Amino acid sequence: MEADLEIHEELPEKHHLRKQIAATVRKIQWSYAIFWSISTRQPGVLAWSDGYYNGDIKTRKMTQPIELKADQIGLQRSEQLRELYESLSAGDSNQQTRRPSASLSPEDLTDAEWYYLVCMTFKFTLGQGLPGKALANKQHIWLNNAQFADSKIFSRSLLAKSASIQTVVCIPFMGGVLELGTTELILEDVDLVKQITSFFWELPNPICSEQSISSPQLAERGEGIICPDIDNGIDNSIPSEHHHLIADRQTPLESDPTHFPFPIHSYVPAEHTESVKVEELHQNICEEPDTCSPDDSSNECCLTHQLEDLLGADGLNGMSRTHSLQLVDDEFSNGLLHGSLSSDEHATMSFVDAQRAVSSATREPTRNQMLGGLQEGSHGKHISLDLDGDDSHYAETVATILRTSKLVNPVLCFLKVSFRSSFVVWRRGFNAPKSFIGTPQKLLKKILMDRAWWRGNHVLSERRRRDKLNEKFLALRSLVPTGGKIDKASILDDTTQYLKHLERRVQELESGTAVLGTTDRRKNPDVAERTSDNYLGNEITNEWKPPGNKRKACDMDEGEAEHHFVLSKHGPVHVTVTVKEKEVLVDLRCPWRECLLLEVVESMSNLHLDPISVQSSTVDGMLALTVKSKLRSSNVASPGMIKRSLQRVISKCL
Amino acid sequence: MGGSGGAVGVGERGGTPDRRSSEGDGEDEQQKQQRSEIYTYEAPWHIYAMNWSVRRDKKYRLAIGSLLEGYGNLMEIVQLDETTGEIRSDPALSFEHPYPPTKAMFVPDRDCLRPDILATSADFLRIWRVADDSSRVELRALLNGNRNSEFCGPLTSFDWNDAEPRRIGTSSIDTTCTVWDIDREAVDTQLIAHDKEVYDIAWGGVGVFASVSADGSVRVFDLRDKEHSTIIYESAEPPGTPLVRLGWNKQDPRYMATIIMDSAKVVVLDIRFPTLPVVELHRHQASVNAIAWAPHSSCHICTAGDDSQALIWDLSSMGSDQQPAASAAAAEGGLDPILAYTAGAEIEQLQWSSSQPDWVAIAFSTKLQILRV
Repeated sequence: MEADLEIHEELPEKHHLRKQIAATVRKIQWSYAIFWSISTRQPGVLAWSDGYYNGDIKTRKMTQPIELKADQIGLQRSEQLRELYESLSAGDSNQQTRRPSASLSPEDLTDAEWYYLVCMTFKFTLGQGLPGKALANKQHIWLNNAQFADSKIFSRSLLAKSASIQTVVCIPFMGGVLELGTTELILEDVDLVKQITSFFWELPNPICSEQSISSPQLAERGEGIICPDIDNGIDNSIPSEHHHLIADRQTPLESDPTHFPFPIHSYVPAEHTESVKVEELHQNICEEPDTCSPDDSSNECCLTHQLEDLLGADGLNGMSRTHSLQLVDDEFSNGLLHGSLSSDEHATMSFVDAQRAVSSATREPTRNQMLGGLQEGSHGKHISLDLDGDDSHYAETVATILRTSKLVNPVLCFLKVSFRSSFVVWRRGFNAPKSFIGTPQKLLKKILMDRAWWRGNHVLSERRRRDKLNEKFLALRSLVPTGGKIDKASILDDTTQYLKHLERRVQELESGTAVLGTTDRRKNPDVAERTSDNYLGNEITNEWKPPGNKRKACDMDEGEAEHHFVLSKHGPVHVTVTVKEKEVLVDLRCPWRECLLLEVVESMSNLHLDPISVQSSTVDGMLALTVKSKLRSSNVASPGMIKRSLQRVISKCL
Repeated sequence: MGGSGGAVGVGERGGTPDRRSSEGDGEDEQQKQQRSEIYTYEAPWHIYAMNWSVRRDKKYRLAIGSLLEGYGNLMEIVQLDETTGEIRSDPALSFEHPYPPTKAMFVPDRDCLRPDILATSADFLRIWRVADDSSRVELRALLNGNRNSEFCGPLTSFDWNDAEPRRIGTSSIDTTCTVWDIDREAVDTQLIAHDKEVYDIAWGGVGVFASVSADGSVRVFDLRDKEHSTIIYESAEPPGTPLVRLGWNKQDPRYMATIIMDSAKVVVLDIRFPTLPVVELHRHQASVNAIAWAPHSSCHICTAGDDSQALIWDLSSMGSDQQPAASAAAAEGGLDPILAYTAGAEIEQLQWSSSQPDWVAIAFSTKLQILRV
């Protein structure tokens, strides 16, 4: 309370300083300027002395409708911001009545204004933070990309990020530090620094009409509670600054025991052991501005109401974590809140929750009304959806969306039914159209769901696919002794049979090689067995028997050469001939030898067959040949003839 | 091809008398001639895809796409002639399109900083360039997300990222969503987004989009962490009913709206409160086909459906308790729309012009209408 009194002491030179600051920042068109000066109560600590906000403004509120000059508007805005800060820190329940109607609410602020406002809570020792360093080194510091700066260098980088502040300059000046910031990226310009300082002095004395602006020694307020701890912990920047924030906001709360009966001090000592929590809390405070503002952009109506809640939420944060958890939990029983508070890693979560708490507080009644019974009994569902890890991820996503969205004030009654409008005012039953019969969402479904729709598309890719498949089938068929049928099922059937056969052979050979020795006796049953196996296959394909027999014959011919088995040099000889009208398809598989291909074609030619396509491959000494040919004359050779003639050619040298 | 459609000054209004204004459009003071507020264009075919041009130098220009079964389809670019009040198709700007486009969008570039391009989705995403002298339209890029496979899931929809116009997100029946970098003509990211076909996609910010699917869920994706997605709504009655369309409120990204298959209701969601709709709009008398958020207001939405109606809703009561009227309405079983328009047939398509927010366009049967709000 003492601090309050001090604030309102208006010193003339201070007044002038403010105008100088204002003129300077306006001239270079940056977003804000803050003058940090050595605290009168705490020597060696730089605290907010004065400032001027020159950035974007969302909602303008004025008591009097008179037109002010731009600089006056700016000064008034800065003043309003400071008042808001005070009222926020004062945080007592009577605020609503005390505050004039034109005062700002947190909802009225842009992110940059929030940044400016929160800066009021900061303090720096010599050499600490950007202003502290500038003062210690007696050298200006120009920081680009402030939003990404290491928090050790620029402790407000998180805040800057939300406010899109990119460039911050600190100039040691008049025993204090003049800090200027802008949302633009401006590269270091020593001349500009010089210009700023010189301009500052050139400025003629009063440049704008007298206004009652009180001077804010705001940062002084929280000192009583926090100083020693804070200043020690200052090197590890972020948390330390949270302390500032938290403490600053706590101070007024403490002064209102009816509202917050919990001793704030009890929280402070715990800080060091609970640094993570502190960080969470910090997030709460830091991030709140930018989430609150979009949040409330659409409902200006319950501003004061929300402010109260906002303060309430802050108060909760200031208290021990358990308290806040309990309170928030009890009040809103929001499942998401649960997940977040128990998750220490995802600090950002908590701010969403804080915000959620705020909005829940104000919205819950509305929503209940709006949705009738829907809202009730929904808590269970909320909780069931609560996914620990994902949730924090989602909270960040939501935060990003809300932060990056450009805020547009709702055009509340933009739709005046003009006489040119094509629309008419809706009235129940008035516009009743003819009742709709037919497929609902017919076109929509056609576009989205009708598969036939895309058949056209599939025809192309399907054809390509089928061509490829056919090609492969052909290749497969050339490797497998098949029946006369060339349909895919038969080919697969034959392949299955053939594979089974081969497997069996492998098995036989593996088990046989040891015992088999060199006796032919052992080999013969083997062959017989295989033949019978083939026979089974023949029940389906009916064409395997001949090759099987043929093969057997070959094997018999080569009698003793059992290594032929082992090396599989001789597969079964197999010939299929299919005649379809004037087209003859010859499928042939036999051990390869020189000139065989030529002779086959020759023999076909002798039979008045004109080969139109030949496909052949040789794998492991086996020739696989597919010849498509046309009958040259009407003198049709029977398939049997062709086959026999081919077999003759093949067996020539076997 | 094309160009054979005729424009009619005033469309069928179901018994409502013609209302003609007697003054110009404000931005064109000299042309203070009579003008109707409904302009109709009749295409030679059924229209499905339809959208407004965004560029400020191309007012009252729209693209429409045919819905003809099979490969051969057409796109036309039509423009309202403000002097005659006629919507005309420019034959030079009509072009053949393989398969019916499922969506068409002009580049979200109001300030004309980029080339005048248009994107369509069908079997692939295609980028078309309208020549600066409006003499022709050329295919600038064909973006195929599945180069390695012969199968490409047809695209059901796409959305152009306002904040980052090089990015387009497409949704496919193959359960994926693909984010394209159209400058590089390459895939940025492809995600298996849902368990079933993805029916629509909408951006909510620079790196955040949401999609709806035949699996009945609305999922939100954050490109910074592609491993996760968050289901923020699942259809009930019965569970798993496909969600067919999605609209993210660009003015207030807390809200998005979705349409359920065969349903006459529109579900409005608040992304901060997953699972529970913030409000459901129940005044359509048949299934809803299209939704469009107001481009200039955070709380207005237009919906259109098989009941031939386009309804405009004021949702400002969603987040506040200062609207006793709305609350009272809610007590009676839901919010009422504020404005209505009745078209001549089921409204299949609806788009609200982002650069001329006074205008919405609807498509029904073979007709395109632009309506003053």
